[in-house]
Amino acid sequence: MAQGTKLITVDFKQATIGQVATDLQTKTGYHFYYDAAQFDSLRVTLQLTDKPLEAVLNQAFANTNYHFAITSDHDVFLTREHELQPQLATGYYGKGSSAAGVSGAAAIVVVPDYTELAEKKVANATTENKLYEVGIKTNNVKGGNVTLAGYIRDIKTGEPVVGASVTLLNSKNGIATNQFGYFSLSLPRGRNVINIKALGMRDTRRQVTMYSDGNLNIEVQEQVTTLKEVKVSADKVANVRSVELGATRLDIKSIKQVPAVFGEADVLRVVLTLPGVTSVGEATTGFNVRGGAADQNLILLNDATVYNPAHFFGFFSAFNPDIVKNIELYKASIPERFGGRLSSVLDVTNREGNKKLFTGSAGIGLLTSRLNIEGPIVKDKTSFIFGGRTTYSDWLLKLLPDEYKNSSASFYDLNLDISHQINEKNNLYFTGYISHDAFRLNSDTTYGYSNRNAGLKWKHTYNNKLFSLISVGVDDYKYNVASEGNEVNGYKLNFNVSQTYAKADFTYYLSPKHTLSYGISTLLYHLNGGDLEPEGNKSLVVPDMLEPERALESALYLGDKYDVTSNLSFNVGLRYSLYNYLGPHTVYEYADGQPKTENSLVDSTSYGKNKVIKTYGGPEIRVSGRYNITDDFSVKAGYNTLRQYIHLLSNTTAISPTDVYKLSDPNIKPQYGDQVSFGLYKNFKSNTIETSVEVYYKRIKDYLDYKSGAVLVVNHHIETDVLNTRGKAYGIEFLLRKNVGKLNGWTSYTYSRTFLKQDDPNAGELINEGTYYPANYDKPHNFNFTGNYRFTHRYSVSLNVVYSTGRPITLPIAKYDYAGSERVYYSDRNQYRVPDYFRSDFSINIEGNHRVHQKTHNTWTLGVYNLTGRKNAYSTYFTSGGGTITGYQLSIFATAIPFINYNIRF
Amino acid sequence: MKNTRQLFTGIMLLLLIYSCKRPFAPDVVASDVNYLVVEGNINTGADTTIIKLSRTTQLSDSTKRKNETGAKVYVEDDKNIQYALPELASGMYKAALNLKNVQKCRLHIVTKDQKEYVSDYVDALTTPPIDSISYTVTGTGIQLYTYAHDPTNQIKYYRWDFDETWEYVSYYQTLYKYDAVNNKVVPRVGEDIFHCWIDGHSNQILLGSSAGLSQSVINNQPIAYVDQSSGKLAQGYSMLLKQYALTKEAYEYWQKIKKNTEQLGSIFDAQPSALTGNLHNLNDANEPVLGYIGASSVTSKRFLIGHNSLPISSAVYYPPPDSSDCKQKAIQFSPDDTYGVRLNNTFARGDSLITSDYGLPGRILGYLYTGAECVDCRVKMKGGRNVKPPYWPDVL
Repeated sequence: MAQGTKLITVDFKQATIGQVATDLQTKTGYHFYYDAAQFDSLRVTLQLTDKPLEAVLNQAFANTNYHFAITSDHDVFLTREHELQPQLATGYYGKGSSAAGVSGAAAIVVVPDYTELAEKKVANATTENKLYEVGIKTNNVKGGNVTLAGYIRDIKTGEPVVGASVTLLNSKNGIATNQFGYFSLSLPRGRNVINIKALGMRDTRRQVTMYSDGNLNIEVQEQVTTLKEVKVSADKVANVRSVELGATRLDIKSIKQVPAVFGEADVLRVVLTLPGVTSVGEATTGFNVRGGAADQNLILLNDATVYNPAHFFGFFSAFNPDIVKNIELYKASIPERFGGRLSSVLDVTNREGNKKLFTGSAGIGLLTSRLNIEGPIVKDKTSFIFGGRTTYSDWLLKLLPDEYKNSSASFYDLNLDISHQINEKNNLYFTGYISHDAFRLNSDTTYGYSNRNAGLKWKHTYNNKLFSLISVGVDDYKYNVASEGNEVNGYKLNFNVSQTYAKADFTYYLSPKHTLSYGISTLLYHLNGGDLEPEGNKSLVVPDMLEPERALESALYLGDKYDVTSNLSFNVGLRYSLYNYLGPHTVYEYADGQPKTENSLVDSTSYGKNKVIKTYGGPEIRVSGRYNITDDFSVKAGYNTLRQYIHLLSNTTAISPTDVYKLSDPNIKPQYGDQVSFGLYKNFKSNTIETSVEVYYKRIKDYLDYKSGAVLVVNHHIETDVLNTRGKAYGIEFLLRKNVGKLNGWTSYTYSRTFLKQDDPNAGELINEGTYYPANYDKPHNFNFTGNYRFTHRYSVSLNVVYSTGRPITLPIAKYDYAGSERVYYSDRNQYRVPDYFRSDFSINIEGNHRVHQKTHNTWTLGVYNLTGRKNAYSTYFTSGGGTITGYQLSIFATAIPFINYNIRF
Repeated sequence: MKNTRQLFTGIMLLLLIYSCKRPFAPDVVASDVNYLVVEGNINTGADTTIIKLSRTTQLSDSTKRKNETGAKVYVEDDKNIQYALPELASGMYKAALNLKNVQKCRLHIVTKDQKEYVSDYVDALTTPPIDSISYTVTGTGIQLYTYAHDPTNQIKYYRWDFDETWEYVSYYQTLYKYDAVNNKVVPRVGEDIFHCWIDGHSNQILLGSSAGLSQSVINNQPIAYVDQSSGKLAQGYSMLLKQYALTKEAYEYWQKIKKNTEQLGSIFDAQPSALTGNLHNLNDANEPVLGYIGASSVTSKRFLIGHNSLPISSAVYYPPPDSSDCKQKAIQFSPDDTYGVRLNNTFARGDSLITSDYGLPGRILGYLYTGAECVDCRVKMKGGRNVKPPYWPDVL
């Protein structure tokens, strides 16, 4: 080769390929051929004196995957990845042709060995084999760590993938994407292989060469689940690797597999299948997490608080299964960014609209039908998703006895979510939600309730390591009851609670070992606890209105996820919450040391507008730690404290929609709770089977119970009718979950106890003599099986089996004759139990056909709820009628209920 | 809230097709409780004060009522004057007390085992009059309502109970009776055993409140539903409604007992709650004493309606017994020689009664007879009496 003869001198500083090629072309007269696009990230810094061209290029491309080839015709070919052999194969011209190609292969030795991976499996997605170069390219790779950040999105819809795990191959370093699909990962410079695993998505990987901090957006493909396995876990190793205890994530696909009473997937019913979650019975929206009361759950829909997540008095959940993407339930390790409720956070996340094309779906069931449409407003930038549901349940009412034939019931809910990408660093999200229920019995009473939520979020990325999320919004819940049948007593009662909030959350990827999250939030409550008005001209009802209440709940938090070693991690969080009860309001004072009654009322003080009447507050600790004993076996422990400033007052066993909320005030203290938990997590069979055992002990202080016969509606002295109660709960939860394969699902067994105790000496009345008694939802033994078996790609069956101890009830201990009838006398609360609960549900899911490219896809779901028709007791009770007492057992859904549901996607 | 509750009951009914209610007997709760039960109202008006004492019984016990006898019962006013209530029937202590000028009073009981119980002092209330009682036809019966108001706006809480009386008839009307002394059949003269009247009492707790209204008005307050299938509307129906003024505390007590014993079984039930009345054992404050003693005058009003005034068509006779129970047999005169013996054998026991004679025109061959319950309305229903109450009009 002749090129060795001419010596050249170069001096490049961050030179682009164009500059390099032009300079060398001028100095050597050789022609350079290359694809500029392939070289756009290359910057050459090089100073050489009197070297041959080959040496110059060798140096320039050292430690990169760029190659060069110099032909005898004085042409220089620059390539990436693939080396060009400019000479013909040996023997093409016969023996003796001497063309010694210059190999740049030696230049790649600095990258980690990845041949093992390449041998194991030949990946088919080209992007997986492509080597991405990130950062400002230099020809010499320094040591140390850099940060790679970016979004993980669905290739088809452009929707962010939440909770995807991004891990480095052969390393335990990893991170999960946040709610916007954003990740920020610290990794060594040089060549790395990143694995991406996400819920309902195909596992994928990317090969990157890191030069400096940089960005990489990754698009992942939806797992065509009808054709392949279904996963219920975000990450096959998440349960073992994550630092959190008692957190469960379920995607809508696994939710839809669980047979539901009227055939429509129901988010809240599925939550009840998880260990540690119980309820008092079939007809309630309320669920109890690890011994907490039903109002101690924070239910969020895209960060908006939903006060009443149910339709039809609890028989349907108010979340549209076609819009919901996934849910996450935190039972123990409640992240420090959440606060305000004692027991759990149920975080429901809606999908983002398809950013690429218009699609939709519709479903028809026995009682409801639904429609959703989504699509781009500006392609790849702005999208919307709209969902609506309504009921036509009146036919059901027609089946009732004649005296109820004029009844009517209706509900609807509407979702509208818009996401807009302003630019790479700024995104806006809007969430709107309305649900409404109206009911009219044959009588003259009409009833309605409604949730309304609107929120706006702005996400800003400062750099690879820091991003922020600013949210503002309004959440509102109201109900009204109106009756005009009796003209003198006609009334209308309105209740309303609304909260206006603003919060800023920051995530800072400080170093590979520390991820900081911090933020500030404030929330203004406005509560109208009851407004009674006369209805009709002749009504004598005196307008009566509780003085509206206002309060500000603010919080500041800081959390650090600290990876001490790859096996030992901690989440250490501190939240400081501050509560101000604000004027204008009149506050009553009661004599010290006496039961609060209207008789012990000694004084009242009026406070002016925005005057701080009472301040409560304090630190909340959120700590958890994880130690990996082996790769698939870990132990975790955690401790949490929480405060709750808003109370639900209910004197019914099940939560009813007319229950009233009350803010903490000088007479009503906030609730306080803490929980310590410990868990063992072990995966089997290449992480396809997850098992865990968790134990917990929890205490609750200042939970509100009510006095016997308390009036909770439009009560000006509600503090005289409620009692401070303390609670304790403990339990052990076993979970076995199989995420892949033809048979998948989960099964759990929980042993747990929940006790309440009312020993406030100033209460004036003691329940069960001030000793601990079982709470209404104390069901010691709970067994649940939820499974799906896929025969073929088109047919699958699901089975759900539930067993639990019957709930506690209060039974009479004697009878007596009074007011013309035999009557029963009750003594201690909750000392007996209804018979054990058992139910099994079954469904068959049929996919219409599974060609990917067709205009519509349809599915049928048919099944039977309560297959065995067992008459499970909701309650047992005695009533006096006709002069004698009779015992009854009330059962709801006491028969096998068949259902059918048709869904179409377009 | 009453209407809300009603709504929830409706919800339960709405889900009736998917729910069910069936009799259930839980494992009997064994207990040895034997609490004193005190029922009554200190009548500060002209009427009799009746205090009934009894004891609680086991749930499994078949006795409906265990009376507490032999107690010394008296009312004390705030000037320590005692008004005795002697035991006039088993467990029933009554007397007309003149308490017109009493402001506050309490009940004092010394049981025969020398335990001493007192009620709290209660205010003597003046019960306003009942304005009217009305009805509407609802389904196959009538719904009765009451109206009242207190012009002084003092009384906000009310309780009612009632005695009802209805007329009924037996299956056969007869013109004959058996004369046991002379062993012969004689015309039944001046004695009607076809029409009877029987009494009933309210067995539900009836409460009303005008709290929250600008005036003390009770409007259209449901009192009772009387279905024609009960037979109470077959001839005529009368109700004597009694009204009692209550204090707020008493009202709350009655609400609780109503909720605990009558209003269970819906999905949104309040939990049964402990009942604490206003009576205490003087020596053992922890001993539960059941009942609540109030003091008030009592007002009453009578409602009366005849079958023919009702805009519903219904039968005038209600079984049992029905026609198959009331098959008639014949006793004929011939053979004459055994007639007397047969007559005696058939009717001396009194369980069969003659309904009519039979025979050819102008010639009686014998008598038809059937079971006494088909002929004598007093036998048909225990407690029925064939004496028309004084307030009952001749023509309804």
